[in-house]
This record gives sequence, C-alpha cells and structure tokens, in this order.
Amino acid sequence: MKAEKMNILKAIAKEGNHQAILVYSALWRKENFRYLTGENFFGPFAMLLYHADKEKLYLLFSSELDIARAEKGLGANNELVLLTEKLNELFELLSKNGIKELGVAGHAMLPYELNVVITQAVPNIVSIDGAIERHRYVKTPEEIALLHKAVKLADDSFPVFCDSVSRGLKDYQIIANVEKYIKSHGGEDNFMLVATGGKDVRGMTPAQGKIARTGDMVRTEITPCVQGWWAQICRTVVKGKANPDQKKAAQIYWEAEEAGLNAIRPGVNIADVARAENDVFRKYGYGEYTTAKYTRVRGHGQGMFLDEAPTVNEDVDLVLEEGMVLVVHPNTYNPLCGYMVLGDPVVVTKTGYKMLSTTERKLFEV
Amino acid sequence: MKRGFVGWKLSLLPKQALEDRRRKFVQYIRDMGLDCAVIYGDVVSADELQYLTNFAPYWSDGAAVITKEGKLLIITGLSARVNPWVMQITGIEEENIIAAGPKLSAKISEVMQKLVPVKGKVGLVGTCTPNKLIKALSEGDFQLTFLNSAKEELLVQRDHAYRDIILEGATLLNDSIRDVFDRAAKTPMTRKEVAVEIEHQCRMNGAMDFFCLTAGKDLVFNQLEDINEPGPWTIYIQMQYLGEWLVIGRTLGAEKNLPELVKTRDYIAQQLKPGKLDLCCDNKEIDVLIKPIVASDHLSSMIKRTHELHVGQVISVAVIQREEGLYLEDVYIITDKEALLMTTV
Repeated sequence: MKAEKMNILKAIAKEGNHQAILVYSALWRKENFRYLTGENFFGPFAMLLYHADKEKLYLLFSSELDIARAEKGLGANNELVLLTEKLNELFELLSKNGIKELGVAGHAMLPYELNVVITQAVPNIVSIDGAIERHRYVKTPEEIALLHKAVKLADDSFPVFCDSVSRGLKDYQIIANVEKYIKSHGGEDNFMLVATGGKDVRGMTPAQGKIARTGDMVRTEITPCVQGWWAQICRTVVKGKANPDQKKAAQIYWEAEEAGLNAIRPGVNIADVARAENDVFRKYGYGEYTTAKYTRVRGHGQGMFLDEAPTVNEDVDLVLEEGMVLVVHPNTYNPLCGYMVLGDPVVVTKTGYKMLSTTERKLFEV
Repeated sequence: MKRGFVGWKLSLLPKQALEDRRRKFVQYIRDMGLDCAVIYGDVVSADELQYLTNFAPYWSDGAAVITKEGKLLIITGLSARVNPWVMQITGIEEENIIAAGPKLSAKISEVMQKLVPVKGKVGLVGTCTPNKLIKALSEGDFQLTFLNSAKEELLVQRDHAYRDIILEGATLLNDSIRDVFDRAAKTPMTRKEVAVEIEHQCRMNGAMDFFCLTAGKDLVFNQLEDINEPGPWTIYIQMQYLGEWLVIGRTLGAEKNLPELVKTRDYIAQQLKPGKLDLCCDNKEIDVLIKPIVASDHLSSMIKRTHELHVGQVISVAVIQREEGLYLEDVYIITDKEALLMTTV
C-alpha cells in the first residue's frame, strides 16, 4: 500500500480514536478497497483490516483467485487472509488481535453474515461510512491522468457508437461494439446505458433489443474504466435528420451544460452548479423537468465508483475544490422529444475548470 | 455488469413457470412460519431475486417482498421512470412496483409496515443483504430470520425453464468460443484479444453479462492480459444469459498434456449421478472442484461443498493440474442417468 493511502488510514484512526479500522467493499462497490490498496478483486467482496496500535495491515479476500494474485504484489507488513464458508478466519483475526473497538467503513453495506461474525468478535463497532469518501473527492495528478485516459476512451469510442446506430444494430449490439473498442484500447471495463426511441423514452434503461427507426433518438452514457477509474461522456444521436423539436431541446441542454460548466471554480457550492443548469430549463419554461420526477442528478463526481460522490443537485451542500473531477450533465426528460442527455467531465482548476473530453457538444445526426 | 440484453423471453420462461416458482417459495415461507420474505439483490448478486421475478437490478440494488398469502411487490433502488421496463421484464403491474432510488432500505421497511403485522416474522433472502436494510427492518419492529437455506431451496433443484435457458445460453457460449478459437488457431492472438473477441461475440448475440480472466502456467488469473507467449494459458469465462449464469475454463497451448486431463474430467463426469456424491480420482496431482450451483458468486471461496446431486441440478466441475498449469471447468446438467456436458468446446 502506498504511503499516502496508509496515511489516510492513520488519520481516520487518529481522528476517531479507533483501535482498528475495517474497510468492506462489495464487488459492485470496490472503490474504497481499491483506492486504498491498489488491489483489484473478483470474489464477492474484499476487506482491509488496519490495526492502528500495531500499524499492521491485513487484506481479506473471498476468492482463491484474488489471494493468488495479491500474493504476487504483497507489501511488507501486510498479511493476506482467505475467508471460507463459516468466516472463522475473520473471527479469529479480530479476536487474536484483541480488537475491542473497530471503525467500519462500508458498515451500511456489510452483508448479514459478515456483520454477525464481526459483532460476535468485537464489542464496540462504530460506522465510519463517508470517512474515506471525503479523502477521494480531490484527485492527485496521477489520478486525474487515469481519469483523462478513461475520458479519451469514451471520446474515441463514440464514433463506433454513431456507426453502430447508423447501421441499424440492436441496442445491445451497439454496446458490444463500443465495449470491444474500449477493451481493445486499454479499458478494463465500461458502464453503458442506451435508450432508443422518441418522446416515449423517460429515462435510461438497459438494452432491450431495440433498433432505432428514422427520427428516433439514441441516448448514451459511455463510462470506460481505466485501472479502476471511471469517467463518462453523455451524448444524444438522431437516426437520420433531427426534427425542429429535437434541435430546440438540444439547444436548451447545451445552454444548460454551458451554464453549469461556467459556474465551476474553487469555492463555489456544487448546489450553484446544479442551479445554473436548472435555471436554463426554468428560463425556457421547462423547470418542472429538473425535478426528481424526471431526472436524478445534474452531474456527479468521477472516480473509482462509476457514480462517484458528490452528486450535482440543488440540495447538495459541498464547496468545490481544485482537483475535484465531475461530470456535468443536465440529463432529463422533456416533452419536446423525450429523455435527452449531454454531459462532459471536467477537472476543477485554480480559476475555473478544464474540460477533459473532446467530443463535439451537439446533437448528432447519423 | 448487466449492460447486455436484459429481457424476458416468454418462449423460454413462460409466465406460468415464474408463478410456479413463487408458489413453491410461498409454501417454503409458510413452512418456515414466516409472514413474508424480503429477497434482496444488487447489480452483481441477485440470483434468488432473478429466479423468482425475472428482475435483477441493472444498476444499484432492489428487492422483492413476497407475503405468505402470495402478494408480490418489487421495490427498486432505481427511478420510477424505469418502472415500465420493470413491468415489461416481470409481468408485474405497475401498482406493485415501487421505485425507492437511494432510499431502498427505508422504503422496504415502510412498505412492510402495511403488509406485515406488528412483530411480524420476516425472512431475509440474498447473500449480500446489507446492514442498512437489516437495521431499517429491525427499527420497524419485525422479527428477522436470515434464510440460509433459501439459496439451496431455490437454486439447486430448478425447473425446466431454467434448464432451457441454460441450454440456449450454452449454445451461444460454445459457438462464440469455437469461432474465436478457430480464428486464433489461424492467426495468433494475445490472451486479451481472445477474451475481447469472445465477449464481443457473446454480447452481439444477446449475453446479458460477461466476465473473463486469463492466466499463464502459474494459474494466477487476471483481467485482459496483453500477452502472447508460448506455453499453456487458461481462459476462465462467466457468462450470464437471460439472467442465468454459465461458466467455462479452458487451457490452450497444452496440446500434449491436455488430453489426459480431459480423460480425467470425463471419468469424473461418469460418476456424477443423482444421489450421494462419492468421487474417485486416481491421479493425486489433479484437484477436482464441484460447485452445486452456477451463480453470480461462482468465484467465492465461501461456497458450500457438494455431497449430494439431484435430478435437474446444474453444477460446475473444475479439474485442475496445477503443476502443468492445466485447468478445465465445465457445466453439467444432472439427469436421472448421467451428467450431460453443456460446455462442449
């Protein structure tokens, strides 16, 4: 584990006066474990136990495959533990180390059986959910470089998306083609939603075998992952020529995204970024479509979780800092042409923001 | 992640089959003396939820609530805007689909207050059922029981619909692998290229999810290795089709040693019959690993050992010769007479 990551654990332990810290990450929420350890995993979950008194680190895996891989890169003063059916290894580890007080990150997500074992072994358990996440908000130059690579893959794969739409492929085949490009060019994964149709489309769904007809819009979020770092662009494509309503809507979304982007700089509250985006919709009489009934968020962080905190919404209270990375996307339903998406990732700089994506910000016609 | 085709093929999974699955489950919760059960699933692990409802979250998490009277509700960690999609893949009316977004646990507890009497007995199903859901239900004053046996009850002896999906999925997987292996035999490809091409073929033909690892002779598995070295290497694939998982492991580049391992695999397979499992393998250098259920947690080190096989059960069998870096993993369906190999590559 890198010294800077170990320092995060030390700081959290010191701040909360914790004897030990346990970090739990489920397979679909790897971010905290991966952020701290640099290790990937494929079993159902992985955990890290940091014994603050002894300055000792244990990595606990739930798959033999993960243990075998981690053994290759084992750092000094680290121990690997493989968990088996009854989780006796976890109970023994906590007991033999005499842990009486434990701060648990990922406490809310702990599965029932794990929680039972931990509760039996340790008398005093404290949730420290959110503690590691706060350290993840501001990215290092190295982390920003990885995010930039992910964005480049999204940009470079977008022509594959457009070509697949124009060829009349089914939605899951479009995804297959984009994903093949991303994995062939250095991505380890990709989260991608596609919504095909007209005004009937109210949100993003998984692929259902739909084929775009002439005049349909195909909306996508392409979110490649490079070494655990996810970044996203959102674009809307029309099969054939866009109609006046689609063009009118696209102009509003462009203006909303622009307003959100222009609000970004250190010291600004993230709520004001969302407000800037939503005010554009209000100005044109579509304010209703910025509510939770029609949209989820007006953007979100970019990082080791594909829907990284913080969310960009008017009810979120968080001041932007230099080095934060977020995607600004005024994605929502509108009655002109149905759900529409447009979004780009940016890094917060000293004076404003730097756009990480290069794909043209427009309604595409293919 | 589930970014492939997520749908409902009625020809393979008739509505009646889904209802029969739930009827059996209702009897199970009645036998357990419960008022209802909460079946939880997340984007990766939702095997029981998928089996009972054909719904699995494509993102975030979700749950089904089934009462002892047979009432079914689906509560999703998604937006209400995708309720029409949930209706489409489950056949459940919209009034019984509740979108809770990030407040899933609190919403489940709130819904349960109306369905279950005070101090009611609630069973929990789903290996990843999270603390926050348990906390919300505990605060709702329910008596909670974690149904350890539910996974086996539901997923060991499954129905014809499940086996039909597995058969169709296996054909897709076999054809995709064969095609890419044939191409790789003609034009050398890296491990990554082989993995990417197989995934592409599977996804183009409707795979819901796909996961692949490769390893060299040391059998230390990793993702997308851009390696093209002589000598044995292994590809491990998990593919999900219409909600159900298949698995296959194959070592390539070991033409001399592999036939012996295939012989051992087939010898083991001959012993796979309904009843008590008493395996015999003469070669002590070969590890044999049998998993009773092929599901999302296939790589877990916490899976229970199999001691008995049942007619209709779908299992995986891995035979591993570590010294030589050889690995075969296959899926079989147990019939009343034999074990039928599904992964025929």
